[in-house]
Amino acid sequence: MWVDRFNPFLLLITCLLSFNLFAATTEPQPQPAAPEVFDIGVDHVKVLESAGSKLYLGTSDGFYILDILTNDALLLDYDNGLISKSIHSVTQDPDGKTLWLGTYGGGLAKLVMQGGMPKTEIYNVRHGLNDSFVYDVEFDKAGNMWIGTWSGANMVSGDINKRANWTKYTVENTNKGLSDDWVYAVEIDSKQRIWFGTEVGVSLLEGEKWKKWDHNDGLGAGIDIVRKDVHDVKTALRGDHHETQISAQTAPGANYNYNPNYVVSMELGPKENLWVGTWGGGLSLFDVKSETFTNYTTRDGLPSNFVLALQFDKEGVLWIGTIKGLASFDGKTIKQHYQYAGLLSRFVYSMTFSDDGSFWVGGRKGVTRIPTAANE
Amino acid sequence: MNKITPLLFVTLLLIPPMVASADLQESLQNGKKIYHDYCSVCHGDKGDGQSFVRNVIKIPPLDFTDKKLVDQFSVERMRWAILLGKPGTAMPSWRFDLTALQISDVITYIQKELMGLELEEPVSPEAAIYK
Repeated sequence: MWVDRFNPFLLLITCLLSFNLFAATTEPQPQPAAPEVFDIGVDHVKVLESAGSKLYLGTSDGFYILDILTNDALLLDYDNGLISKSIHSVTQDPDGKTLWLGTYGGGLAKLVMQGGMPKTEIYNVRHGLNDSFVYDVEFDKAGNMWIGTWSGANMVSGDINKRANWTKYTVENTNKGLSDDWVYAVEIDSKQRIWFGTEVGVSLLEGEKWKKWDHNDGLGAGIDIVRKDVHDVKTALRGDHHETQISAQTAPGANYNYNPNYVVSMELGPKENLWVGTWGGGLSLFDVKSETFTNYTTRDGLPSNFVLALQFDKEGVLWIGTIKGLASFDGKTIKQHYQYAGLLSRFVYSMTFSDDGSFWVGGRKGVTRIPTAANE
Repeated sequence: MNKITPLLFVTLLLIPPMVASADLQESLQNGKKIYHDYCSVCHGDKGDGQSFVRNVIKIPPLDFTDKKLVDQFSVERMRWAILLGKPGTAMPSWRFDLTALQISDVITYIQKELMGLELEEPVSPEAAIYK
């Protein structure tokens, strides 16, 4: 069922008020068989997170909280204390009450809902944050917060308001243990090892020891394998700000439109192997025990070798978002799904599964809700 | 000796400007690196505020090349902004990351190369704000 696009102007003037996405739908409806499309008029939906009956949408135009039972939505932006409306990560605090938003240029936002209204606090460079560009936030079992930024990583242990509790990790102060200061993804395994996805490969922090891997170790498919699928994506997604990183690349043939070292997405699998989505180098599986990579590309059935998002479902199937649509991988076969139909765009930036069994896919303009059975 | 004295006098006259120029060059070089490491991501490579982040932050980054705003960009005002940030905007405080000398170097670079002001000497790191 396609829904009317709700007016961004209306959102601006009612951003503090809950409202209904479906004008005619006030009661919870039976699960539809076909995908539902929520065109909210944003440039892109970068991140999706599910929490009970709530769906959190981090977009280029603000942070949305959607009640998936009623379709009521709340938009938070500048009027709610955010400095940047471009949200790159949404993380639920272990305390169950707090949300942490990583923003593009506006630092780290702490959101605590109080009586339906958010209380926002911003953490930035003066608090100890490396950079006001925050790409990922994760918590380890001890409650330490790990943050990926454009100037290295941070770890916050204890009271976040005390600067002494912030630790910085950069290429320089780790003696090049961290592959690159542009940290896009953080993952923490059951052994509490910290994995960092950067623009120059993957790094691992185990205790105080660093290890790192890049294309020379097998990360991302070689240019000879993907050459025919490399095309001009710079204008669509990248910018000149990546130019400085090209010189740091170790991969032969690396340029703006092909960089197998560039970790765009990263996810630990059920067996705790690391799955890495690269920029033009396809999907990489890193076997943590043997420390070897296996690469999957369009030759294996991927819609594209530019892998923007990764998400496992409860059956252990990996869902893969690319710049040319959606695929799934059950460990044996890669299948393409809804390459165009049902999705708002070919670009799949984000995915999540909600408790009601819906599969949510974020792309350009908005988000699509796919009933799980419809995936088959 | 009489013939040499005027030459020595002229040489001595030339020395101070040459020293100042070397200081300025060094400051500009340092300031350029600091600008590109810390500032250009928001203010743009050319200082005109044209950057990716411009469209997603609450208050757009300042355009240092806007001649109408030159009077607002006094050294002290810039020093305060860099040191303490601008509350409610994306301009963070760099007080823990940049030294007084680094801040003066980046102001030197912004004023001379981006704002196009005539400078004969680098901006001094000495300022009341540090006392």
